[in-house]
Amino acid sequence: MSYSPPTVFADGTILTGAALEGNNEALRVYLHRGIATGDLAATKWIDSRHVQPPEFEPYSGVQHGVSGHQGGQWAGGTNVRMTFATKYLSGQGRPSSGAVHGIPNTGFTLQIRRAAKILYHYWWDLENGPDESTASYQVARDERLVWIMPYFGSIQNAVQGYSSRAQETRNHSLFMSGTYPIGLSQTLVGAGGYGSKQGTLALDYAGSGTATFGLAAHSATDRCGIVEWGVSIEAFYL
Amino acid sequence: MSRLTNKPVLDGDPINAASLNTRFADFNQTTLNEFNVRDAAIDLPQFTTSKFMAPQMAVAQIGHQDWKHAAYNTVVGQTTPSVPHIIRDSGGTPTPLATGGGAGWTISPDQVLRVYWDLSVRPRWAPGNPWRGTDIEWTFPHPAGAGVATCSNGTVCWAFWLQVDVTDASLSNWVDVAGQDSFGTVVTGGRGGNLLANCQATSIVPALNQVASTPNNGKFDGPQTEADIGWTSVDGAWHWIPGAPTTIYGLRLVCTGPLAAYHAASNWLIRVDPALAADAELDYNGGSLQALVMRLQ
Repeated sequence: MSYSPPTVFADGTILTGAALEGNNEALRVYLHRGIATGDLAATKWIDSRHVQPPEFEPYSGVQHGVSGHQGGQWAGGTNVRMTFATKYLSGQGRPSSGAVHGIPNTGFTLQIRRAAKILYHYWWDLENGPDESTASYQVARDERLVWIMPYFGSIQNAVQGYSSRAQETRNHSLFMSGTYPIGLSQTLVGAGGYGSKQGTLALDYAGSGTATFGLAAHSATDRCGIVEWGVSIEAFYL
Repeated sequence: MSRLTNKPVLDGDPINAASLNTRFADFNQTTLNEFNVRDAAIDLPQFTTSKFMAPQMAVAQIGHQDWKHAAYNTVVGQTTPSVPHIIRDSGGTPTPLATGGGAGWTISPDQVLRVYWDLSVRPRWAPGNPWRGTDIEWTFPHPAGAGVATCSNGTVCWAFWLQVDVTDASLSNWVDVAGQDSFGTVVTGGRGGNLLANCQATSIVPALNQVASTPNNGKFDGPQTEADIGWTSVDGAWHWIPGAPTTIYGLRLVCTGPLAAYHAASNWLIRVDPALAADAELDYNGGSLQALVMRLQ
């Protein structure tokens, strides 16, 4: 037991206000950042969702409790929210460009109350292209990729800090080449432009304050439909 | 704040030692339980700042860091018995995730290790349909030609999985993680492979993408076309609860290929196909490998 009252009362001794208040003060100290792991009942009874009736933040889909933040958003449900990436916001397909743009709906801004260990999970299904445009300043058609990467803090950190986590999908091909489509009875063929990816950004967050997480894209194709997607946060204070 | 089982001192209560001491003895392991804490709630300022729900975390960049692929590493197709390729940086140095410095992380049975990784990859394939005559050749009706059309069955792949060092911080004693083998178990004809049951930390990426240009009601009326896989990414997650306290010093990502599906003795396997090895290569760039230790109870 971590809490030890400074005074253990004994019959026949004078009860002083100082002794009584001393015990109360020690209890206040214990109850302010004093409860340690070994003080809790040893049998399994506690999960993160049980610790404190949480505050639910409906816009971000995150709940905040004593153990941290949990929750997220996704594209599903009755109202599908497809999002997108496009070269028109990230360098027009120029090979020298490293520009990124934020992917709508995938960001969080959280109030982190204490140093935390954070996992930002993300996944998506996308259709990239087909981009058959012929402007000569672009990368070659079959080399047109869309990269999606997480970021923490400023969106520019996506490239500066987290480009190692970029996951890419190639442009569709075979859609518009010279001999296709062959006829109305034939199936149109596409290859390579489908991407189903997932990832996790782990962060040991040292301080407290406002923390922003999100997904950013660098695209070399004109349009990339991110048909299904999800983002979620686990932030552990304890 | 929590409800405790003793009432506060009220008017008319005796002021004696037992009555006073009892009120300060409530804050013990027995009474810090579901009734007093979970149901009544305890707030963040009451907990110590030392971590006990998520006590450990580590993050590493892995592979050859160049997200636009100006330069990359290349793995040539491997033959049996498989010796996996260790994911390396641009200078050829392996890029493991070291855990806890020299002390490692000691994970107890009431904790779970959660690992997440990703890597940018590009499988490549020699032209000219080299898969013909190998495990992955299939035939389809082809009425416009000689009666059948040959095509890849599309099961050829590269496999990625995790290895762990539970010996010391030198990170020189790597073993496959629990539930995973290195595709080196001889399946048939000296060829290595894994039962699917031994692929519990495996992620795969296709090595070949072949499409029919004009599929028509189950028949291949036209030619088949190999479409490059192109740059893509592969990712994985692995969770582990040890049966006894275990110290881990590092994790790393390895890969092998090309592999193909195989069925024998009522078992499904992923098996090395040496006939394909000379025709397949895998390029890769960077990724990340991260781990979190989390308390279960």
